[in-house]
Amino acid sequence: MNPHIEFSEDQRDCLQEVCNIAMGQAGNSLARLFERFVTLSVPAIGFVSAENVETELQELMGSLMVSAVRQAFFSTHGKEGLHGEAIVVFSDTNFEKLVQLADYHEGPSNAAIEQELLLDISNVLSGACLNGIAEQLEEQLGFSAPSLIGTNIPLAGILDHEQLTWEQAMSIKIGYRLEEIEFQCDMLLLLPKIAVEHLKNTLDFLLEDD
Amino acid sequence: MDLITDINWKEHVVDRMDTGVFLVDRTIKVLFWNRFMVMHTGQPAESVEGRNLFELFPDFPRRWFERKVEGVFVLKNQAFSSWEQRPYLFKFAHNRPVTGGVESMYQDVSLMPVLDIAGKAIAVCVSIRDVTDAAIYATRMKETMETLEQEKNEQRILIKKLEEAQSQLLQSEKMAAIGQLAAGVAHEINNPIGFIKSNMTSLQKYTASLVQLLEAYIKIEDQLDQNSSEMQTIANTKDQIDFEYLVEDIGDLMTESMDGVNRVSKIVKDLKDFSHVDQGDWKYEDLHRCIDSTLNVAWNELKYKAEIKKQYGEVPQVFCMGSQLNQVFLNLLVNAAHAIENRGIITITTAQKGEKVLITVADTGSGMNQEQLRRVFEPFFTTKPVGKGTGLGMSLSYGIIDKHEGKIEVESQEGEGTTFNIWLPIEGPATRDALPA
Amino acid sequence: MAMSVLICDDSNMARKQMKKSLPDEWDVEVSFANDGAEAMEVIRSGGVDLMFLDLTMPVMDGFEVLEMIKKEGHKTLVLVVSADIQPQAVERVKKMHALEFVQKPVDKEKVTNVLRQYGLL
Repeated sequence: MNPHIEFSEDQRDCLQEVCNIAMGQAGNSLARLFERFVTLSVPAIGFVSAENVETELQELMGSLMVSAVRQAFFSTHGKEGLHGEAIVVFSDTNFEKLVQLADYHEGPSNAAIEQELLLDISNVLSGACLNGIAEQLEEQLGFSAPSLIGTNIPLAGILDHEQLTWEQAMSIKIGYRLEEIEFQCDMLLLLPKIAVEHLKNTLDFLLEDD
Repeated sequence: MDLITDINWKEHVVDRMDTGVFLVDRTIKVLFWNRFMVMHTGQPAESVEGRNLFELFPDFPRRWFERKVEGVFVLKNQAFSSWEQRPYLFKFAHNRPVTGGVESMYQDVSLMPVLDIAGKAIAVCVSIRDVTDAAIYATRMKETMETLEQEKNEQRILIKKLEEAQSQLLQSEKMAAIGQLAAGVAHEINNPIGFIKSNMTSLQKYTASLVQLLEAYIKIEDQLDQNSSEMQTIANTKDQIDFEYLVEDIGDLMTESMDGVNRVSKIVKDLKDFSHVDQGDWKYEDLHRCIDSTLNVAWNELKYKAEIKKQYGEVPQVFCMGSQLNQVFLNLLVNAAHAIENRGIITITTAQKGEKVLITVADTGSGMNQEQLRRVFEPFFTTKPVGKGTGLGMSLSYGIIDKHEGKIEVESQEGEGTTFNIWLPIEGPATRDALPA
Repeated sequence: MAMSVLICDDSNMARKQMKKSLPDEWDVEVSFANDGAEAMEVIRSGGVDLMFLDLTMPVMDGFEVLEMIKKEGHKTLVLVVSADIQPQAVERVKKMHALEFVQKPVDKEKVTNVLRQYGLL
């Protein structure tokens, strides 16, 4: 049995602030993409256990039917660095309206264009946010191309319980809302235990530095 | 000298990669164009580099690409495009000139910011990967999955139908059992009703005689001493029992009771006719009697919905299974009643047509459309709300008439009504000798 | 008399970072608040001259604090210190009478420049 991951109050506070700053950068990117004000909320740092992943996700995200995009990120330090997966979860979103706002296609909206937009938004959010985090932690990240997990699927469908090989992972939830239009998306950063250990060391280093 | 620094990266590596690589600036002017791009567009690097991409390729998704490139410049973040959502960026010929199967090359595209030393984005590097084979595979896989899913759904529907059929069978078993029970009960009631009826007839006669006798006595009352105590008693008793009304009422009571007993005995008889313990027996039957007993049984369903018009013709007895035909008539009558929204008319006509008898059941109900007409005898087809009809009644009826080597036809006009015609051979099926005894 | 400065941020680290980014020889009295509601209490109890205010906070966020200061008519000067760097956010807080907008992460140079600009140093 692996002992559970533990975070000190200082470590959590420090990570919270790091995420806060990164979230601001990602929000700014999103605002530029749609030329709309993005409402930000405080990032939620927590842990999910593979055992209860479905109920924990449900509590964390709230909605039942979602669309989701997955993207992996990895550090130039390999397994020793910051790595994991970013899942961007869209709920209560009017995609048709978004496609209009994004304004980069000719002709009427269709499923492929909406999906493409989902991928783009996810890419912009995870790229900006994770690069923001990495910059503060003095790391460099690479990204896989975003891939669609599904549109309008049950929330439980974003993680296949059967396929999980870990017991506990760190989750950072960062929510974005666009003013005046139906758009709600939450970026869920999931870090495996080994990446969290590394993260703890980096945070300690930052705290010492102060 | 270091081997790595000796390499001409642009010419010997990037140019020769099996991936399309090109660089554009913020105005979408091409800065670099590798060999993959040359080979697939047919445009040599010299004629492309330094020119605007949209001038060279007018079909290019301009607005989309501009937004993407601008995004990469502003956010300094890479961007992607996948074949699944956008099959291709350039319409390249695919690499399957022999094996075929696709229209053009499927492409995964990434756009990467190229930064200067100060970290400012100065160009965007676009790379295009040929993913045709994987795309074909994934597409086929998806199609297969969809087919499987569809088959699974069809099976689910079939299973549901089977379950319904099973419950229908159970239901008809139950009905048969109830029928048997009814026949048994009818038989049991038949005897007491028999003697009640005969006793009632005697009682009616006796009371009439007694009243006659009393009237004779009353005639001689005048000759008695009106002040005698006997006379007094008679007067008192007459008063007490309301003699005059009693005499008047006794006849009515007897007549009403007789009517009631007759009705009970008729119902019992119909019940026996209808449920025929001898189900499946082939014999000559009076069809009018069959229809009448069915009408009696179905009366509760019909009485508020329809006026029944009987137009019986001269019809000989028909060699048939009466109880089964009763089922058919019951079905037609109940369906007709259900088709009538408020109140209507059900007309039953019979006639002899040569070697056959024609029975027609016509209603003034809502009628059926072409699709419903076509499917009316299909098992499980029903126009009634879910749970109301099993969709088996008409197909069973069809089966029964078919067994008689008869014919059942339907005509309908939406909004006007439906007519069923049943043709039955008078002498029964041609193969009647082979029928089970 | 020393100037009274309030640092309002939900993050302990951010508060420390902020305090460390104040100019070395600046004669001020520094107090702290964990969220907007706490900050309002300190302001109401009087005498906060300058506040460094974060925007995204639980309980009561920075926008609400700005609104309340205006509504209750406090004379506290506000410098918004935030990670929310959208141009619209900057515009919005300036409309709500914030003196200036400082982008996170903060450092001594950034803070000194802003303070100089508004003659607070």
